[in-house]
Amino acid sequence: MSIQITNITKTFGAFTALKNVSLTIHNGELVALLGPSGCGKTTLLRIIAGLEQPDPGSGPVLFHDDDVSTQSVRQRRVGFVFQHYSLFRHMNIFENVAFGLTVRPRKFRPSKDEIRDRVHALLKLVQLERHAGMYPHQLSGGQRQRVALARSLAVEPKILLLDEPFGALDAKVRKELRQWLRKLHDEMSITSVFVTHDQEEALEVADRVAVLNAGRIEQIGAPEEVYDNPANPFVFNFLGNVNIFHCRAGEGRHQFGGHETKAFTSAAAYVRPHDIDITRHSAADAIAARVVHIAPVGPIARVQLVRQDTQEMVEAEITRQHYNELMLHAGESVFIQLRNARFFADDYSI
Amino acid sequence: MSIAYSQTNLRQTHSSSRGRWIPIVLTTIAVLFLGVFLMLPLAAVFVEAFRKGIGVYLQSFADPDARSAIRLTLLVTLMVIPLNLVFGVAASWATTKFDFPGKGIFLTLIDLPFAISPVISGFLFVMLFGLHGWFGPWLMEHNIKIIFAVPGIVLATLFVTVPFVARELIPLMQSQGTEQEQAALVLGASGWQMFRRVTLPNIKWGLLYGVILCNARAIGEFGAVSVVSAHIRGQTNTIPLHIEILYEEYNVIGAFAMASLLTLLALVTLAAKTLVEWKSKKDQAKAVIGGIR
Repeated sequence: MSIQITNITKTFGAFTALKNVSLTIHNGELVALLGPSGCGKTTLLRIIAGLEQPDPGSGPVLFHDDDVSTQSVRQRRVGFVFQHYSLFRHMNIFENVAFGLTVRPRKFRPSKDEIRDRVHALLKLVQLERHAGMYPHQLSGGQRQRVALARSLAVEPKILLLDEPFGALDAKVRKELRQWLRKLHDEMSITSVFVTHDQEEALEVADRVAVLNAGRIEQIGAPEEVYDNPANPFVFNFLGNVNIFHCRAGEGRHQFGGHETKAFTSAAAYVRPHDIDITRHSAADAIAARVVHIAPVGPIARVQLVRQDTQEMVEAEITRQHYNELMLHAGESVFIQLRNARFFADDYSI
Repeated sequence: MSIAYSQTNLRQTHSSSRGRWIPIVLTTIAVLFLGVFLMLPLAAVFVEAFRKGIGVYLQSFADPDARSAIRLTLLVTLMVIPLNLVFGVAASWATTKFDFPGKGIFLTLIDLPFAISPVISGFLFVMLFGLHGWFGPWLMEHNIKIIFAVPGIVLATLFVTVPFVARELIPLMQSQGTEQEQAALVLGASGWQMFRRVTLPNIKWGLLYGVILCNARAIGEFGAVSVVSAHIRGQTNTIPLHIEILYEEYNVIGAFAMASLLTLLALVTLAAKTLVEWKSKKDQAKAVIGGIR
């Protein structure tokens, strides 16, 4: 089922959480809403679910071309996974998962046997069959999150909404669960939207990523698209580490290795650390720098340098192999070259 | 080794001449205070009640006026508790799960009966429903008696016990937040299903605790009830009012016999309260371990 929202605005008192946001999510897609805290991503998710009402004058929320704006959260029948799981603590795992089925009006309620079968099938899906009789406080965080997911899937929603689903888990469990979520989504092909502030999580799991900032969608696109072609400095900055080189027009060619500045009076070049090359030989487009600190961790080495001319800090990431070949030491003078840079007008404030 | 070391250290601190006496002195003061001001009067009630033997003691309850007072107290309590239960749950539900203008004033008003003297509470009702009160003439015309009758006693008791359930539930429901209720709604529960299957089980101990306190106050209320009751024997006397009358008539055994009944009820209440506290703490501990709000 597709989701289409148009011109949604939401204010809480003097604070504007969403400004005129429009977004289309296709049937069967897995979309990430990515942004820093307070950017409005959770509010947007809650408006889709019907847990929050947009301001008057906002456009409609459509599910598969049906206007659900006036429907209550109960009528919209979406699956919603809360950040803190929100399991019913006085019910055991079986009762938690069965809840959505047992509250149905008698006419639509499956029989006791059917409910039992369906709950056990779901618990099997989330690999918690043997935990049916336990209570939420007896489970680990990752297990609780899987129960929350099974509970939301029990009502067979056409749309699954997840609010920071892995936010409260430790790094290793997080990684396992997000791969598992991707697999689950591929098997069930249920339209899913999840909120996250973790760019790695969004880029790894989602079909498309919507980057939000201060109540607006800055860019939406496939992970490689938003990473490789960020629409503005905010997206560039939010999706990974970045070096910013300020330059005046005309200065460009000399300093930025063949990268032309556009017709800005003042511009900044945005360069990812892995697009900075370190050499020992001077060249026309090379910048002299001094090595400050080296952190060789795993397959890459993070090198901190200071430009000799402007004293600006530069961060570079080179492969471990290249690092070994160079035999770098802190305090050495080297040259850096920019492989790839993007220019944005300098007056853009992040 | 390190544990043994720190224990020795602790003992040394305690055995320093100053440190040794402070806990003993403080404990003695506390025990003496408890004994003189709590245990002694409590014992006195029963000693006085049984002074002339158990036969005379039991005789006190055979008196029709005494029986009527007990019946009236039970009737008032049985009416006040359900009303306060419904109001308390509704008020705490409204103030913790929703935002509305005037919420602060509403919360303050709930505490009003705590702040003003019970005697004043009684007079408020006399002023409203008494013969010369605002609605007095109208009530007279329609032959409805509130003041100096049972309805007045119920109203006065209701007024002084209003805060108990709500005061107990509001902080509890505030700390629990609304996420579980939202989860229930998303899963398709109706408002009533959400309340019965999610909210109520989460607040049951707090609710019971509030009801116990409310019950204790309803049984023992003197001031407000004294104003609106005409102290008519066998009709508008509750247990506390009846005790006063008996005592003023120098019927010491009767007064203390009735007092012992109230005291016993108080002890039962205390035990129930402790049990509920213990139970709810256990539940809360579970929730904390579980990390669920």
